Amino acid sequence: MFAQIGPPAPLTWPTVWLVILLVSLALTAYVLSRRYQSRKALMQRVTELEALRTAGRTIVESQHDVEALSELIANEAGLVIDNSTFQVGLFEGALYHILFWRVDGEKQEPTTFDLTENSGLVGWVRETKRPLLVRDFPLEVDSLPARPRYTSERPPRSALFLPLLSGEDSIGIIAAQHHLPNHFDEDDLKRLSIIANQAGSAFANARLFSQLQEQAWLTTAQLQIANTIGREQEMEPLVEATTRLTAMLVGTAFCGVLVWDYEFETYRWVNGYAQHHEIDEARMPVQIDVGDWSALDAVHVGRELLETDRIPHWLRPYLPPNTPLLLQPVIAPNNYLMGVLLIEQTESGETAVQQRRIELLTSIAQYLGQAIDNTNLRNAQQEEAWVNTALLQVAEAVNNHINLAEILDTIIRLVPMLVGVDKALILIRDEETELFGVGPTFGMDEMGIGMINTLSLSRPELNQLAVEETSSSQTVHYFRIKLEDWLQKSLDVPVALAFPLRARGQLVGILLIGTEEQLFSSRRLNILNGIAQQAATAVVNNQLYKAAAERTRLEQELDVAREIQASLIPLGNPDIQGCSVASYWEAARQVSGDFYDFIRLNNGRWGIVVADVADKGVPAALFMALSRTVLRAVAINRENPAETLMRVNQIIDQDAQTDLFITLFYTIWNCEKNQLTFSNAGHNPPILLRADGSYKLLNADGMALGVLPEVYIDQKTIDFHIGDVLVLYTDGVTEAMNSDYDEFDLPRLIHTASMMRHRSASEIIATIKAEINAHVGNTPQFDDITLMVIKREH
Amino acid sequence: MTIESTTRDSGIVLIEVNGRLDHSQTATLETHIDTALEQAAPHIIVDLSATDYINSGGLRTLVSGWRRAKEKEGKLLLCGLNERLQQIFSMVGFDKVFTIYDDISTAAQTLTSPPE
Repeated sequence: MFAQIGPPAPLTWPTVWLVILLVSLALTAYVLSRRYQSRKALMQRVTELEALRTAGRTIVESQHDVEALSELIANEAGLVIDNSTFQVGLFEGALYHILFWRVDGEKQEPTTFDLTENSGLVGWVRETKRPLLVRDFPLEVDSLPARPRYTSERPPRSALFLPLLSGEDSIGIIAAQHHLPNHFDEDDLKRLSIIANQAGSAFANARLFSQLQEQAWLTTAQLQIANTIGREQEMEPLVEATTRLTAMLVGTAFCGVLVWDYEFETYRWVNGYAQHHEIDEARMPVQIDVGDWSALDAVHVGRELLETDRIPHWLRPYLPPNTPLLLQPVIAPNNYLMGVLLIEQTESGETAVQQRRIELLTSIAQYLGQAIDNTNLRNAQQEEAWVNTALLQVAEAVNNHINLAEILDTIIRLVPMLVGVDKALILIRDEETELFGVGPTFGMDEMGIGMINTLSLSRPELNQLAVEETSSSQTVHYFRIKLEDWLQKSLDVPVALAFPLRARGQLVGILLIGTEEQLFSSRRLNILNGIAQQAATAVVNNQLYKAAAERTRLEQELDVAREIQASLIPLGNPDIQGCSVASYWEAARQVSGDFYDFIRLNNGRWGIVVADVADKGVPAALFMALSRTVLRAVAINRENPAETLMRVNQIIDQDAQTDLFITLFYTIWNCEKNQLTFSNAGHNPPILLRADGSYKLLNADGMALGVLPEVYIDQKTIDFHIGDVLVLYTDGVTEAMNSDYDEFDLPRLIHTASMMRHRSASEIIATIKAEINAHVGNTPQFDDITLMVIKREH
Repeated sequence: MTIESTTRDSGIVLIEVNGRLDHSQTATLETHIDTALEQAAPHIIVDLSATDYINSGGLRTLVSGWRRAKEKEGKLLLCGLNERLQQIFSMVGFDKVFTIYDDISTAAQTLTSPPE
């Protein structure tokens, strides 16, 4: 009943109770002494008092074990009345526990009666808190306040009933009975009531003590729990120790713990203790999702202790049949739900025990909540440290290499070491084709690599990844890919995760991870995400580096080409007899291959050249230099332009190791004869404007130089009179384009020049230049613009 | 502005140039020609019927292809030049370098018929 649970704890009994009792005894003695004046009576009273005091002291000093106390009370009562039939009992709710019971000198087993239906005289005494003397049952049966309960063969004839009071509460009964009538009188009643007073206090003390003991035990248990929980830092041992201790302290056959996984939003079985069977951890659920177990859902939402009869199948082997289960939420100090304690609900119906158990459970849950929270926090810190270390390794690897292939190789080798995956590969997106090609791989066979390489080019799935990608504020970007059959075959895993390699807003590739596992911890995702970011940075840096290197190379080449070209353009215009001469040359941004030249020949003649080398850059510039030098060398001792150009072609073609060619117009001005003799090697025909406004294009049969080893080039001669204007140009002029792709065109050039034909050469050029500028506006030109105007002035 | 290559049953590679054959497309055309030139005795027809402009770089690319095809004992023919292109070819004198046909079928016929 009120037996001690657990090891008896040393507890000094407060002496205050003894003092109180002694004072009450003294008061009683004082009252009695006033009532019995006669010496004999006094002497008797003294003897009685002595006995009572002894009884009182004995009772008070007794052990605080209620059963022992009951026996002691019965024995002490024997000093003042006949106690051959005697009982000491205590109430607990509707129950009446007889803790000491003797009938006709024979000790009986303690027993319990239920007073619900017929509480009898005991119930009356309890209710009224008044003593009762029955001198003779048969005579008084009608006047008794209640029906006696006795049904024995030898029913008592007389009896004494006294309530045991503790403050205002009636906590029990002591009763003496006898089979003879009139065996007890008023004096017996008074004497026994003194014993009853002491007994009441003593029981109250015992109960209080018992409660204190309980409290002390609970405190000890909580301390034990706190110690145990505080010692463990890892989840598993923490939960294991807690469940064992809980089972022992609460006295239950099963205790287990489910922990709520915030990341995956599911419950996980951690550990447990079962008295009768070892728990088969392999059969415990990895996750218990919302909806799997309604009782768990209820606790999850309500956060209140719950009792359920519906036991999931995985718990049934560890619980006695038809035993309900208690679900106690485990809540951390920050009010986060950490998990649920599962405890078998033992059959004991005693409320006190239940209350104590629940009180204990609550505090266990509190301790556990704090401990799990601490564990999680510590784990999170360790995780973070781990992730940082891992990523640092990757960063070092990236920094130690310059070559992109080496960097990605290193990264892909680190992935399985840091994250533990089965397959890994990096797909790199080709900037131009926008297709993904296979970069470095891990754990894949040649077949798989080949397959992805072949198929990824023609399959849209990988390209769709780029489309599916959405910007998100979350730190981890990844996609769980449903693998297409061909990709699954290549990777040979059931699950693949794709981490976009993205930097500066560009998708530059994909880190593809293949794994057998369905669940990936946030640590691994964080590491993979970090790796993907670094790989992306490496790819982008490489692109930028390449672009910069290319740009630098182009810039340098351009500078060289510009220098070569500029060095070939004549400085100023020569003073040609009878003519005004003007020229204009503007190199395009990318440097084209225009050049012009004035060659002083003998007898006052001048050779005039305008040319355009196909293509751009240094090769074109070098080819231009070659052509100009050869032309000058050949022209100097030849009077015939056609002959000159055919010879130039021969030399150039022999020398040309490229596919470059040059279009060139060459004319010799003979001032004495007023004639222009010209040949045209595939160049835009110059315009000869007559003073009268008519014009002629200087066409002659011929072809570009440097294409064929032998070419035929025609030659023509035309008069060049005073007032005539010769306009030489390259296609950069006629093809100068505006933003609508409209070209400046030959007719416009002719018209403009014609309108200005009465002006000087430089004025004509300035006007043409202004017209071209007005035409193109801000549109950048891809070709050089070369213009020469020679006007016959006199 | 596209360039497309198709290889016919006869082994002739037909390269169609759409739009302007200038700096924007010369590199692409060169790639197509390079690919076609991987064959022994390559027969290439460059269809310029959808080409509305050619600059010196474009001409150079064609000349380069023509020369290399010749070196490999193959041929690079042109067909379908519009009036403007004909003028340009004529001006530069390339009408004397290239064999130019009106359309693809005429060009292809030349390539498949036995040499005279």
